Amino acid sequence: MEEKRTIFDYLAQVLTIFGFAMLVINIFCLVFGDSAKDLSAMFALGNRGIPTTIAFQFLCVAALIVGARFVFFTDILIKRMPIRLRTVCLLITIIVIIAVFVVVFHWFPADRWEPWVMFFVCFGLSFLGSCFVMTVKERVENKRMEEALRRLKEKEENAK
Amino acid sequence: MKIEIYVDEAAEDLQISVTCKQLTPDVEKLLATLRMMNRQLTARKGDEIYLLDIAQIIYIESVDRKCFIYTSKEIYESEFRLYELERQLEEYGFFRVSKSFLIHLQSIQSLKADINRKIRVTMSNGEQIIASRQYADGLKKRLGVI
Repeated sequence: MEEKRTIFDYLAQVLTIFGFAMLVINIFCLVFGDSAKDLSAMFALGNRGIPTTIAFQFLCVAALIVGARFVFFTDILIKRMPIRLRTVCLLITIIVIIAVFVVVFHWFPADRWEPWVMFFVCFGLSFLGSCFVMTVKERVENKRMEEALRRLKEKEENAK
Repeated sequence: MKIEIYVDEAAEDLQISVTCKQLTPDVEKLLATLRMMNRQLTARKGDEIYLLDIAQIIYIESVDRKCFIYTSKEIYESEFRLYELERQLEEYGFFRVSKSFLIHLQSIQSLKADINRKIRVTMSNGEQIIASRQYADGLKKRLGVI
């Protein structure tokens, strides 16, 4: 029997998202840091690294995303909701969270449309990618379960 | 309670006779356990007692410590608790999928992965039962998926 999830499981999810985001941002920082330091608070130190304040802001975003995932992808708070609607709600929540952080902490100039387009393209592509992987995984799992059920029924029919 | 056992090599079939002053709940439970060996389950509907063929059962639900047996047409009540039924019916292809549900694997129509590693099980009567995360892995193991 599987153990129930604890706070440490959620903490592990937060740190995984945070770690991955830090890795990507650090790569961007190394490549575009110097050229983007006047435009974005994220790259204020040029290619020398990410300011600690930004790191903490990313940690907060990661915690909020895990919180949103807990709300929409468990049935503790929302009992009956189709998976597609849950995914849409999660997507909207994540966009709102990031947009608030962009505006409040000046991650990039909020009054210019180009960074927003880039943000939506990057975010959209990564979200579509993860949705595709999830869908494929779910289909394969459903197929395997149906196949196993068919075999079990046949086996029990033959045993009669 | 007195138990007498006669071994007779000439006996064609196993024969069990119960002698009692009256049919108390304990005696009825004993008889129900014996009947289960014959792939039959004693269940109540209203004031009447029915003998159900185990193959007829689609699933069993526990509500407020009472167990309800669902067939394609009727709902019956069992005097057994869910954990007792689970133990006795396991060898007949029944599987516990949550704290409240025991399902007959032969009566599953389809299986679908649900959120949070749960499994949505659709039974032959169209009823959908969620196999909770605690039991979903066990169900997959029972099916031979993992």
